[in-house]
Amino acid sequence: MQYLTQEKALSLFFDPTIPPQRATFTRMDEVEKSLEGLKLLANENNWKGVVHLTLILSETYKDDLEISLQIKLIQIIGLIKLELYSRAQDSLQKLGNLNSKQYFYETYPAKFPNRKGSFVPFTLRVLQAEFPYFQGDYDKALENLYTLHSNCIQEIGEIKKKIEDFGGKYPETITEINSPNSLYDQNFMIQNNFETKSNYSIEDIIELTINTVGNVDDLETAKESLSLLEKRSSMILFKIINIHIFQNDFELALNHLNNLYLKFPSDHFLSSTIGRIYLKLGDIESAKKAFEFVEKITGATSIFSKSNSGLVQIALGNYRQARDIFQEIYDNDPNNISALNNLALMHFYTCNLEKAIFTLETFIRKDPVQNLQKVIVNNLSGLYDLGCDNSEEKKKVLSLVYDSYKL
Amino acid sequence: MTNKLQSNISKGKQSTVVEDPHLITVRMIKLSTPDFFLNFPMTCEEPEPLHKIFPHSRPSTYQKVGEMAEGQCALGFSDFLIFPEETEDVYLSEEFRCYISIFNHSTQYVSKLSVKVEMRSLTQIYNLVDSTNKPLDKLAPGKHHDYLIQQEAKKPEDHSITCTVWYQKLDGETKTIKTSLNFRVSSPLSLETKIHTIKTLSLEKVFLESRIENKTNHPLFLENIKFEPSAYFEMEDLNQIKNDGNDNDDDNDNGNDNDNDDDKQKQKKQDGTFSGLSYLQKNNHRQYLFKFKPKEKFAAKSRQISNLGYLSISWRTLFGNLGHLQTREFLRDVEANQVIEVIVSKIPEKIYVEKPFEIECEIQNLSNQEMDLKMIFFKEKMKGIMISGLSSFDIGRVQPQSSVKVPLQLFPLAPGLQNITGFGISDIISGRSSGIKDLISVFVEREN
Repeated sequence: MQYLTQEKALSLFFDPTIPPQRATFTRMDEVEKSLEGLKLLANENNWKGVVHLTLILSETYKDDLEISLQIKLIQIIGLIKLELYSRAQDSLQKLGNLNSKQYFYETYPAKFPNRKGSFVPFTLRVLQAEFPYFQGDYDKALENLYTLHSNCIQEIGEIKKKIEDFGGKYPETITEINSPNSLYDQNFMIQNNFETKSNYSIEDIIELTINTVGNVDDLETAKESLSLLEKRSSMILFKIINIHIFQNDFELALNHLNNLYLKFPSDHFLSSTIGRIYLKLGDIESAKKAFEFVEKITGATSIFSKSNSGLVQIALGNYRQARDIFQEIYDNDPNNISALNNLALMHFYTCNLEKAIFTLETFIRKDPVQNLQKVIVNNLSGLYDLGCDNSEEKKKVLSLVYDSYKL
Repeated sequence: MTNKLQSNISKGKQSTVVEDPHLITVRMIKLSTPDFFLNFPMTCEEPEPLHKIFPHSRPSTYQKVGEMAEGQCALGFSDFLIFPEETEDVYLSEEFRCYISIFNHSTQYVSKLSVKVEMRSLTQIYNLVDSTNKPLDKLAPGKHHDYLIQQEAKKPEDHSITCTVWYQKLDGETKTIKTSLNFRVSSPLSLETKIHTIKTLSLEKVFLESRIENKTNHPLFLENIKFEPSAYFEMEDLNQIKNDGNDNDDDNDNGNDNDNDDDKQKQKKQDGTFSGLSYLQKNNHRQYLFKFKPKEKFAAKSRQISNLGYLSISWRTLFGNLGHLQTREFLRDVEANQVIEVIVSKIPEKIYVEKPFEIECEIQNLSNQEMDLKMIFFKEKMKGIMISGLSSFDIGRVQPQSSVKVPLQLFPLAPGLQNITGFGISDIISGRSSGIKDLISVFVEREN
């Protein structure tokens, strides 16, 4: 097999007459040496650039305690994305105990008069807790995450008391999926265009990362804090659920999801997830019941219901029907990656290996910047292995193409 | 993330018939069902700088979202499926899938392509595909002709799937290519069963204890565990908690657990004694308990009947892949041609350690001749409970089809579950003896 360069790989994969849409990569020295610059690099998945810039910035901002931690957080995220786990661990260990005095405003009365609480970014706490996952110690990660979660629950309890003290109320079950107390980021729009300017100033960032229970002085802040804490709790819980699914501990995963579902009964995403776990387990009947809830909320013709029914057809061995369903979803929504992916797999299961390969290749060629996802690449490689004589070369080409878009 | 691409698929062994290069390639792969993509999520909180890149968003049906790369969403688990892995293991009674891809890698057409796929085990041959009567007219260069075989693995033996393809080149030359794939079918469950018989004055009771262990590499969802009793016995499934509204109707002995869901039609759903989901992780096991009583009309003969029935187990794995096993019939020990029967007719409510107690045995002469019986105790066979008194004594004459009651003084040496055993009864007249009897188990308590 000849030695392949990225250039050659790109010319082999894409139509040589139409130059493919290249990913734009900003070089590290082209960006502003600030948090904004970091965001730009991160947005392009240029994690090497991110890590390098954080090294420079940590020198520049070393006297600013709050920003140093934000930079540190971004650095650790970058190292994790680059799979440089031992360096990430070093960085984490250097931070020491995140609950120690050095990370509290009260320790620096001269710099932060009248400020209380911790300025550790919440994601940093979570990263520290879940880090054993990246080293294969799933039980330790779970233990840490459960501890963090119970701290969160405790804080939520305290905030609720404060709300009651202020004479306010908080909902027990939340039926509006977009409510402020929902599980997810309220304002995150699905077709979001990345904005180069953040909506938050540095002051805002820092204000909201403090330990919220300490500084709650009125009903409004209390309610906002509750909303934030609920999201934090769900963030941790989702990671816990993910690890349980990974370890085939379906019962534990379902317990958590069912509890969440009781609190958020109109959240059909939860219901769909519950159904999928039942499918993973093999309990088709329970999966169908869960999917019925989804239908009740979104209607039988929604993408969600259709996708779920496609999965049920796969479980029943009806690959043709499943294929038709995913084709229908994709026809109505050509941006739907999972439908396309599943459609390709169903082509395969209906003995049409060629079409499966063609579907995925065309999809990547259509818009490589958006569509070159790891899952798609892996699936296509598996299909190449089965369907092509020169599968090694094709996989190498694909891998180089992927690299050139992901840096 | 690095590019960990799918590992190599084992290609079927190719045994080419001639040295000439072939125009087609045949590839075979055993597949599992598809699986879901699972990705550990990275999420950032709203005000943090990287929040837009790692939002805490819905575990959605994945749609193209700006920077939400690689199926990441809040949960890392959506409806994305991944290409199935090649399975190493094939388990008895589960359906396995084999994809056969016939690819024309040359630049010419091939014609009259016929395919025969056979699966062989030590004992059987299955014809899975046979298109020799209707061969494919033409296979263009660069095109595939594929099959997906789905077959239930019926025997725990070595199997091989052989695919033979005949085709004709443009110049008329016919060629054959044969590829095979070997695999072993293993048993997914291991079953250990114990049968206990308790003989009392009235009908005897038989308990069947079955330990089911998951020997596969993946979790099993136990859809249905059902015992089908033979015609002679009534069975009670002790793996359910009866919820008839009477709380004292709880008939559980050891809290053995099962979530048997085949009575979904019943309004009051019976709770299984297992809590939670009915699934077994790899190498985990569960124990099930069933109780049998001989049916009224068979009461007299019941002691001679050994067939209890069989156990029927059905399970599912990933994406509902079904497996089903039926055991052989369970036979309990019965003594054939038993002429002397001993049962306990009286026994105290409580038995305390190192406190002598008395039981009454009823010794039955089941034959048609008069017997002159003698009871002998074998000290070395009596473990926890000793006879207190003579180690052998005459019982006397017993008429045919009648019985005699004999009191026995016993002394328990140790607490806990003990057997009253280690004695035999012989007939002086005929010389026949009953063999060493295991009379009954008792629970010896400590006195407070």
